[in-house]
Amino acid sequence: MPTIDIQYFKEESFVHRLHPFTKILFEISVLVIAAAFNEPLFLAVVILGIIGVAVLARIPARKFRYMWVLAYIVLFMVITQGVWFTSFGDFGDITVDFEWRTLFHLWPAWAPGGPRIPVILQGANYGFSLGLRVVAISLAFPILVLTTHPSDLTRFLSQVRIASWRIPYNFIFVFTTAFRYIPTVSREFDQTLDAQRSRGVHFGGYNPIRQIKVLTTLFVPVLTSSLLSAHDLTLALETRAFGAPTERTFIHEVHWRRADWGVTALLIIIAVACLVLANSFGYGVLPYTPQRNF
Amino acid sequence: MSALEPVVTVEELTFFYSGAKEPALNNINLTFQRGEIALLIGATGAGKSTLYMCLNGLIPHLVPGRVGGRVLIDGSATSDQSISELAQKVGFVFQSPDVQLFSHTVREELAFGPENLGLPKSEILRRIQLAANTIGINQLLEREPAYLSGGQQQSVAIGAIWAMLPEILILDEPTSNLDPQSSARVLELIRSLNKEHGKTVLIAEHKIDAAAQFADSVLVMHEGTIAMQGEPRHIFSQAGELHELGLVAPAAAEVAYQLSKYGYTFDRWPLTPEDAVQAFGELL
Amino acid sequence: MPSRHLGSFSNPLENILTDQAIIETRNLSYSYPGEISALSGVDLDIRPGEFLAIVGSNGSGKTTLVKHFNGLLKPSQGHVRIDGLDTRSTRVSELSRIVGFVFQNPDHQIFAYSVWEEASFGLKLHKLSAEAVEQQTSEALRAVSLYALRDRHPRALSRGQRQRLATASILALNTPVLVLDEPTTGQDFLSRRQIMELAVELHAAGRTVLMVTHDMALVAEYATRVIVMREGAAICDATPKEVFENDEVLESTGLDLPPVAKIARGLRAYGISETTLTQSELVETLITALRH
Repeated sequence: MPTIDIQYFKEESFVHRLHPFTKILFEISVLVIAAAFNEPLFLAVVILGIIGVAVLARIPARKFRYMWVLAYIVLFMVITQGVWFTSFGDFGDITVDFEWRTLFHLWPAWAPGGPRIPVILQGANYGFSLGLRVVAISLAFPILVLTTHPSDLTRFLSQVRIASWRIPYNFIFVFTTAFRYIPTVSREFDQTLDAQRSRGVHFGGYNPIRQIKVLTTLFVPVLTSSLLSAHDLTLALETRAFGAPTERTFIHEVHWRRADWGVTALLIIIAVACLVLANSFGYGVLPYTPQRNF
Repeated sequence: MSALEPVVTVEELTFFYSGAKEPALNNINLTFQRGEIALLIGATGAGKSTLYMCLNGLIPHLVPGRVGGRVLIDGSATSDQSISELAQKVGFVFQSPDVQLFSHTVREELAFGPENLGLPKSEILRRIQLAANTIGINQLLEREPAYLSGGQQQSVAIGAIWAMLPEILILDEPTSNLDPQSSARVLELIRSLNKEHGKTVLIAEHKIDAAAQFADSVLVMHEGTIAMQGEPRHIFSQAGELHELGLVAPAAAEVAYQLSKYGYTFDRWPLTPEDAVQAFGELL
Repeated sequence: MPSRHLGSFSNPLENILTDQAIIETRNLSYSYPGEISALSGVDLDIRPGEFLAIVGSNGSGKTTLVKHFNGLLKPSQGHVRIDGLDTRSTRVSELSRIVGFVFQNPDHQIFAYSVWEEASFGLKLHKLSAEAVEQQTSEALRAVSLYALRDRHPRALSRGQRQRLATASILALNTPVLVLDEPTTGQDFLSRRQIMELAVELHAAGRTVLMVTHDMALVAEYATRVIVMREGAAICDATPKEVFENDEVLESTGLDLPPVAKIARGLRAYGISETTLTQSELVETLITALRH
């Protein structure tokens, strides 16, 4: 079973020491840059950059093990875009010289009425770039939570102010406490797995209908006990004065260092540069990008 | 326990969970003296948890149902105080450590209650130190609660309550998930919080052999009522009655009870193996 | 109370059975991934008809050991044979026909929408005939007195009843070996007694019962053999009486004597030499001594 491990891990790295804000800005920059480009080569560079940050943060490769799922997403994008691309794309006034190239037909020539349903090279390529965007974002997101102590995140989120509005502490608590319960839930999961295997449940067979039944035996107990402990948790919170009508004190401090200024500036420069490159000069943008010109 | 001063008074307390036809608590009258340790025993479903929830204000503030009678903590009724006010008077330690440790470090776990109360930072830091020293968890402050052993987790849970400086501590089967050594340590800790810091303690336990010896009084609950109440030696000398309620006395008291059927009597009813050795030795 | 039939040496059937161990470990060692060894060089023979207790403090390797008995864990070194089958080459689902495992927390396994469904689930997996499923499930539910509640939703049961339901779902499998993991933890006195009476009945009916426990009173009262674990090794394999008389083992493992044995030990000064294990034994010994 692939497990998703996005729990903070302790390490003395440059990335770990950055302020949560800086790391959130990194996530936002990745979103912006990945949206700006759709040429697979440019996105590959972005992904390499993210991997570079992960290496800098000394994140062990096993934390990204579950990323193999992304291969399926990329494959799915390539196939569906290859087929659908020309069927509902609006290409505005594309003047660049190129030819649609048909790779093959899903409904082959020898079939009655064929060939039909072409798979187009440009579509597949575009699908590939969409897939790479997903890869970039999925690789970047865990870096924030893997390298930021949940208490730093809690403290930072509690400091966020937009005019007089603040993020309610309840929301922050739920968000950051969820990470605290990952080991608890995964323990329950293991115990349930053991209990069910011990009475003859075989996980990982080939009959899909049977596997659905088999997975119920895992998820029903885990979900039920999580819900029950969530109930006890609310009672336990009350007895610790959670939600007392006073202004909450936070003893935890997060520090903004000089490096944060540098990284913030760098991220903004890179993001703006990428936007200009893509939108003003058309670098890293496929000539057949579907778009509407109003 | 020299000067009797009631710290908790329960008067004609009755409680029905919403939708229930039978009361979970039925006309309970109780008093706890400041500085005593009371041991609460009763079969599962006898109403122990419902009673606690009445003492720390979860009933009537949070749990839906119908309440009769009243509970006074230090002279004022729980219904007139908010749960967060009561949290500073009545500390509650749950059976399972996993549901009561929400933080990412032990330090923050200890700070959590005082932070919620909005106390000044210096006061919170003082209380963290105080709780860590009293409970003996100084070396755990930077650890993650989720990865501590069961005994350590239970100590941290007690520490987190301690940081709220309550007068009364309620512990719901605090050792039921622990191995014998950790159980002994946790019980010893509870005992010292009572003896050295004068806190009033109410503890529920199935493993009565260890707890019986340091309790000042024993409460026996049965089907929502207080079936028996008194000094440990007195209660546990009535093993026959306990059996009828689906309960047992500590092994020493049980053996004494069997011997009493043969006509042997004891001035001081044995509770611990040491008592028993002395008492039976005298007979021999 | 059912009587124990298998204690007598005159039973010829038992002599035949004891020749062949049903669980056999040879030089069993195990390390969890990335950690130091949890078990090292455990050699055990568990024979049919034993009532075995495995004791030791948390982290001593008790649970790791018993998880090898149905293949949940596979040895890093050495081997484990269950009824002659090497666990490394046998599926857990196959071994589950021989070793039934009752876990401490019933809520980790209960998933079905009715008591009957839950109790019969394992049997259906074993592809038994409808009549056999019907019969074995009924028997198991009767054994734990839940037959009358067979159409209830498991969530509507009390904690003690759910524990019995989890037990029934394993009983129904009719496995020759039963492993009880901390059978009485967190249970009140009545539930505790019900579970142990059931274990005694099953043992009397010829099943091999293994229990992992911290409760020394339980060991003293029920076990015929005790294995003491410490730091991944089986450091003592003896009868309860022998274990409770072995100060070295008790001290090095931090095991607490059951209260009755403590009393008996204290009474040595008064001329009682017997290490009694149960309350009735102690009472009997005392009465005999007092009458002399």
